[in-house]
Parts: sequence; C-alpha cells; structure tokens
Amino acid sequence: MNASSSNKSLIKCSDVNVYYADQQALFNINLDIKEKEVTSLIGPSGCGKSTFLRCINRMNDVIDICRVEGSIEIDGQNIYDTEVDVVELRSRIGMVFQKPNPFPKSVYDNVAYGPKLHGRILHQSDLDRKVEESLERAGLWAEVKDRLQEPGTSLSGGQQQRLCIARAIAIDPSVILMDEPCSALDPIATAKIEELIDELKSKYTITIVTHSMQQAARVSQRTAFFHLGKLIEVGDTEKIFRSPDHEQTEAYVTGRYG
Amino acid sequence: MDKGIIMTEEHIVTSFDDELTELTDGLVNLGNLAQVALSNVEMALKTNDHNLAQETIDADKKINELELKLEEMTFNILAKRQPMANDLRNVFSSVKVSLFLERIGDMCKGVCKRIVKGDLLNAKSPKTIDALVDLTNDVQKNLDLVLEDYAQGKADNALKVWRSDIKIDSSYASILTAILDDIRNKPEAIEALVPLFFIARYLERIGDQATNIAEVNHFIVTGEVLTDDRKIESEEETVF
Amino acid sequence: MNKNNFQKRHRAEKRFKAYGLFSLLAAATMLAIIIGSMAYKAVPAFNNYTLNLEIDMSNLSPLDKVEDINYRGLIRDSLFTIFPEIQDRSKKRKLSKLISSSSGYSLRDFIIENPSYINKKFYFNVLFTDDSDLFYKGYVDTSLPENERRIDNDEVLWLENLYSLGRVQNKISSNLFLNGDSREPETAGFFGATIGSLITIFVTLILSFPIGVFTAIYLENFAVKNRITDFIEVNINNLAAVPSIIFGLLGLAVFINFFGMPRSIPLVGGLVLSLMTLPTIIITTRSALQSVPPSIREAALAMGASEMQVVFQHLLPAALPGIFTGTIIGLARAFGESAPLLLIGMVAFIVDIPGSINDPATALPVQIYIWADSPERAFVAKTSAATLILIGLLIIINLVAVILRKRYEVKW
Repeated sequence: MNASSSNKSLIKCSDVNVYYADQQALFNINLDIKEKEVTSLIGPSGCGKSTFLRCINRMNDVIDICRVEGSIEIDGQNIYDTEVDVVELRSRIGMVFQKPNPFPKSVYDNVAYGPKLHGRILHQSDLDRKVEESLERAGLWAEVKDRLQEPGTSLSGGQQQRLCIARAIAIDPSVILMDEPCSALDPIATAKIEELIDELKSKYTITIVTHSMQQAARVSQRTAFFHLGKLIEVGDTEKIFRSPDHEQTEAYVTGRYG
Repeated sequence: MDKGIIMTEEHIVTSFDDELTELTDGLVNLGNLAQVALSNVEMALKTNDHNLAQETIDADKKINELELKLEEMTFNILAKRQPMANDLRNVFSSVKVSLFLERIGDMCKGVCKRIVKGDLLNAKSPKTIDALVDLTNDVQKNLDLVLEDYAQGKADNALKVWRSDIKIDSSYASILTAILDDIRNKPEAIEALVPLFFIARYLERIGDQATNIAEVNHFIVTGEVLTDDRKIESEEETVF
Repeated sequence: MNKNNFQKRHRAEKRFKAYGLFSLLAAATMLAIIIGSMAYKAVPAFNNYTLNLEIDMSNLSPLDKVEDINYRGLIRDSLFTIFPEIQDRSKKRKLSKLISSSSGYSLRDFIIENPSYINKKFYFNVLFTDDSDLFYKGYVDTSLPENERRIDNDEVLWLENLYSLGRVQNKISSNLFLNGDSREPETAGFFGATIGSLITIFVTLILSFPIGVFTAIYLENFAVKNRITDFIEVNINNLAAVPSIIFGLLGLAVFINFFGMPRSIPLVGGLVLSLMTLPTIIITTRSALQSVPPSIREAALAMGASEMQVVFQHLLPAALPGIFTGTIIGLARAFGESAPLLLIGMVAFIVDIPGSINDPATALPVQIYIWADSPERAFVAKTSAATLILIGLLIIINLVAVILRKRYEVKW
C-alpha cells in the first residue's frame, strides 16, 4: 500500500444518480479518479460498484431500462453531453471483464482489433509492432510469441485475461476499467495480474472493482467504499485498511457484515 | 431498503471472534501475572523476604510459557484471517504487548535474584530501600492503568502514564545519586550497595515497558503512531 | 437395503437401454426395407438392351441433306435384312415396332456429329422399345395367352432370334441420367428435372438467404422491442409450420394471376419456394445469433465498436456456421417439395433441358410424381430410380451441412 500521490483528477463524477426502471441503484455519487494511479471500488454485492464503473464508459447505455443522471467529466468534458459520440468515447477507454472474453480470433487479431477498428494504424509493420508492444506490456509476449496465429480461446484462463488486458492497452486508452478481473482466476494467475496492474499504473489510470479487500489493499492507492448505492467513504487505501473513518467501512473490511 | 445486510459487532465467521477473544483474554492473564510479580517485588523489597523472592523467580517460567502460547495464537490469526482495520491494529499490537509484559516478568525476576543473592540489609541504606519501594509503587500504578486501558480497548490513561514517567525517571535519578553517595561514604558496603543499583535500573525499565504499553493502547484506538514531539519531552536520560 | 436399490436401478437402466436399442433397430429396419425395396424396383432402370445393326449408307444419293435422310428407313431396312423371310406388310410393321421410335433421331445425331460415316457401311446400336426391353429383362410371362401380354408370339420369336444371333447387348442406360422426359419410357431420363430442380433451388437460395439473414439480424439487434415486433415474430414462427401447398396457392394467385408471370418456369418456382424457406432461415439465423455469448458483444462494444460493427464483425461471423446449417436444411426441404410446384404449373411435360430461369422446367420430385402416374410398366423402375437419386441428393446436401458445421464450429 503506498500513499496516493497528489495527482490531478482525470475523472470527476458529480451527483451521479443511476436508475434501473423505478429502482434507484446509485445515490448522489461524487467521486474523483486521479490520474496515473489505481483506484479500487469495494463494497458488498449489489452495492452499485459495477454499475458505477460501467457509467464511466457509458456501457450502461446498452441496458434499455438504465437511466443515468448527473455528470461525469473526463478531461474536462462531460461524457453524458448529447453531442458526445459514445463510440469515440469507448475507443479511449479500455475495459476488462470478470470472465475473460477474448474474441474467437487469433491472438494477433485480438490485439490488433482495436487499432484496426479505429483506423489509427495503417501499415502492417506498425501494427505488428503495436501488437508486440501491447503483449509485452501485458506480460504475455514471451508466452505467445510463437503462437500468434492460434485462437485466443486456446490460452489458459490467466493468459486469456492478460490477452484481454493487452487488447485494451492496444488502443492507448487514457483509462482502464477492470471489473473484478481476477475472480475467475487461480491464485498464481491472480498474482501475475496484480503484478501487471502495478506496472501499468505508471502509464494508465486504472479503476478496479474488486470483492477482495486484500487485493484492493495490495494494488490500489485510493479506495472507495460503496454500500447500498451510496459512496460511504473514499480515501487513501492505507487509511481505509488501517483506521477507516466510518463505522460501516470498518464493519465491511473487518468482515462484520451479517 | 435493507438488502439483508446487517452490521454486527461480531464477525460473520464466529471462530474468528473466538480466536480474538482467546487472544485478548490470554493477554489480560499475562498482564495479571506481571502485576502479581511486580507486587511481590514490592513486598520482597519491603520485608527482604527471600522466600517470596524465590517464588517470584520460579513463577517467571509461567509468564514465558504463556507469552509463547500467545505468540503462536497471533501467528495463526494473521495467517488465517488476514485481519483489517481495528482487528489488524489489535492483533499486530498483541505481539508487542506480550513481549513488553514478558520483559516486565524478566525484570521482576532480576530484582528478586538480587534480593536472594545479595543481602540488602547489609547495605545499611534504609532510605534508599524506601525510595526503591516508592518507585515500585509508582511503576505499579502505571502498569495497572495501562492494563486497565488495554482490557477495555481504551487509551484514556495514556497521557497520564507518560507524564508520570517523568516522575519515575527523576526518582530513578535521585536514587542513583544516593547510591553513589553511599558508595563514596561507605566503600566497604559496596558489595551490598551495587545490587541496589541494579534493582533501581530494573524498576526504571519496567516503567518504560508500561509507557510502551500506553503507546500501543493509543495506536489501537486511533491508528496513529506517536512521534517524539507528541510525547512530553523527558529530561535527558541518566546514562548508567 | 442399498444393494436392493442398486440392483433395481441396474435392471431399470438395462431395460431402458434395451428399449432404446429396440427402437433404433426398428427404425433402421423400416428404413432398410423402404430403401431396399426401392433399390430392388429401380434395378431394371439402370440398364437397357440394344440391338446391333449394320447400317448401309453407301447407296445414298449424294445430294441428300444430312437432316433429310430417312434414318428410320435405313434402320428398318437393316432390320429387314436380318429377317428376309418376313414379307407380310403388317408383320414387317410389327417387326419394326420392336425398335424404339427414337432410334432414327439417335442415328441422325450420330451422323451429324460424325459426317465421315455418310456413304459408309457401319454397325450401330439402337434401343429396343420398353416392351421388348422388359421381355429381355424377364418381365413378360410367356405362359399367358397372347391377348393378355404386350409381346405376342411372333414378337417373342423374333426377339429370341435376335438374341441368339448375338446382336443383343445389355448396356448401362445413359438415357436415364442424360435425357429429358419422354413419352417413350426407354428414352425417358431425369436430367431435365434435375437441372430444373437445381435452377429452382438456386433462385430460392439467392432470394431467401439474403432476405432471411438480414431480416433476422434486424429483428434480433436493431428492431425496437414492442408489440409490433412481437406480432411479427409470432407470425414468422407460425409460417414455418404452414403446409407447403398453401405457398403454391399463394404463388398461383399472386405471381401467375396477378403479375402474369409465365407458369412452369424456375423463376416462379424459386419465388414460391423461397417464401416457404424464408421463415426457416429467419428462425435458424436468429437462433444462431442468440447463441453467440453476450460477453463477446460486451467486449466489442467496450472496445469502441458501433452496433453495426458488432453485428457484422463479431456476431455474424460467429453465427455463420449455424446460419449455413439452417439454410442448407431449409433448402434441402425445398428441394424435395412437390406440392407448391404442382400448383404453379411445373408439372408440364417438358422434354428440353432448361437453360435459364425463364425456360419451362420441372423439378425432380414433380418428375417422380408424373412418372408414377404413367401407365407404362417401364416407368415403375424409372420412378424408383429417380426416387433413389432424389434421396441420394438430399443425403449429400445434408452431409454438406454437417461437414460445414463441424469445420467452422466455434467452441465457446
């Protein structure tokens, strides 16, 4: 656990309220995500942390009955403004899901998909380089460099997740969102991903939802605790796990929830 | 709308609570043993009771055994439960507290050894002996306060204990001066006087352990470690 | 106690397995009987008896145009030289009726292709009529009185003579496979019907596949979910179960009566069959699209793909094996349909092999129906042979579906 630096805020969330039809899922969330560090979102099941994460790249738009109010500013622009192009927004944000979901394509094509899709890289040699760089940064290059044409689904669970991370990195995102990325993995694969997150934070802003408090303690600099849709406490990770301000926070991290 | 999550005082896993209770009770027990040893030391000094002193020396074994057992308990809790927040502070501190208490036991044994081996009456320094008994009393009071705090999970007496540590230090300094004077004036009694010197040293160090426990109490309650400028500046320690 | 349960369970499992095996064997046996009896009946259709004749064209006047030569006469003359003792005119006519009436045309086609044979003497094989052919195959019961047979005693004698002269050969009938339909059973073949079927199915494919797939994509991914789309979905599902003859009536009323399109052409047949296949393709395509895990869709969206890109770059490729399988199975069903084609008139007697979607044609199932209806004995064997071919083609089409599916299946 290292202390959060005084980095500037990349994402500013103000008065965010989220509704699923008539049910309110998030209540007046005000939270800043600082750049080039790892922020973890913790809380019991159903507390809204995943919903909140998905607001950042507007993935909740996909759900018909979901309604988002309030503003989320990234680099000064409110992403919920009507003139914002959702597709363009998502091309700047990478997302890694709970269950590894590589495309049914080769390893190479998985990583190359993003840059090709957005037309950012035109020459084959540049694309090759980008794929290698992304896989290298994701700690997977050594294991797959001789298997680039094999399907992404032929890798082990941990490797698939790192492939998904490489895929996300390949589009040079400013933010990487991770929704419980290790819950489907064994301890060794989990450790590799945590190591990776540690390395990545020097280049990317990472927000991770995790149900393991120990993981949040290990990888993040700032922690936000959600409960029943409300943001109860946010602060330096070390503080949250050493002596949190709120009783509810302490009850959750010590395992006193019934 | 409550989604079925209730906050309770107890952990969801009851065996965790059982283990924590066992640990705290064990430490309170250890504290009691230390208090008994210290009060025996006071009595033995007052009455030069060699038998009592010997009993105290023998009883130190129990203190050491209990301390080892508590260490093992702490080790297991850390491995199994990965405690957080107040649990973490508690469990982490229990290691320190048990060590401090074990040291107190050792030092009481040290004092009693001096009483048994040497012959305090031969020193012919009744005033010094009285001063030593008073010192023991003061230290006892501090120990009682910090152990009471610890048992209740509070740190109310922490500041009081620091302040009185100054008094203990100055009592110690004046006892040392008196013994030095005695050595200069009655060089033939040096064999009987030197043990007094060690006894004073032990007692002062027991006082230090009590202060350490006060700091731990403060950490458990607030999560803050005290730096030197939070403590009251004490006079420069007499070096012997 | 436990042992008792174990034994009971064991016995129950054994019984169940026995029932399953029995049903399987019963089905297999019935299938074997059907196919077997069909194959047995079809055997005579696969070979034809031919007569070897010496054709003498050396005496022809050189000014005769190739098309105008009396080929039938040449053949008759050759036949008469074998039986010089027959002088009676009616008997001569009976003799020449032993040979297929198409033989003149086959000789003509041969000379046109090989003009060097004019003015030469050469040997040529001609087909017997269906009755003579059946005689050689043993289907004529000579013990019956003359008026109860198709071959009378004179003919029997002549046929036997020809055989003992060594002029009769048994050949694999290329007619069956290469000719169009014909009044004469010996020259009738199902090639025309097969080509007609293929052209019709081709039309069906190019109409129903794109429309069906894109409709399914629209309904699955882009349509707003409301009452109207629910209504459409229910109707599509129902249409898949509508009897095929209804589509024939629809085709008759709309395409032929209202639009005035000609009957009996593969274009109209294809239109009708595609109406029938459309619901099947829509339903299987939707099902294939739905079987793509939503996590792929999420991953693609999160990468910054638009809805269109998600569908065409991810969902469609992944669903393609399932779509192909559904389409092929739908087409296989259409291939074997006869009822709707009967109603739109593809039941005419078509001799020529169709060359385009506008040429009159018939389809293989319909050809089978026509032949089954014909009185001549020889058509029995031909009908069975055509049925076997139809079944064979259907098996091949379904096999293609299975192979394609296995090859391109995506393992999730």
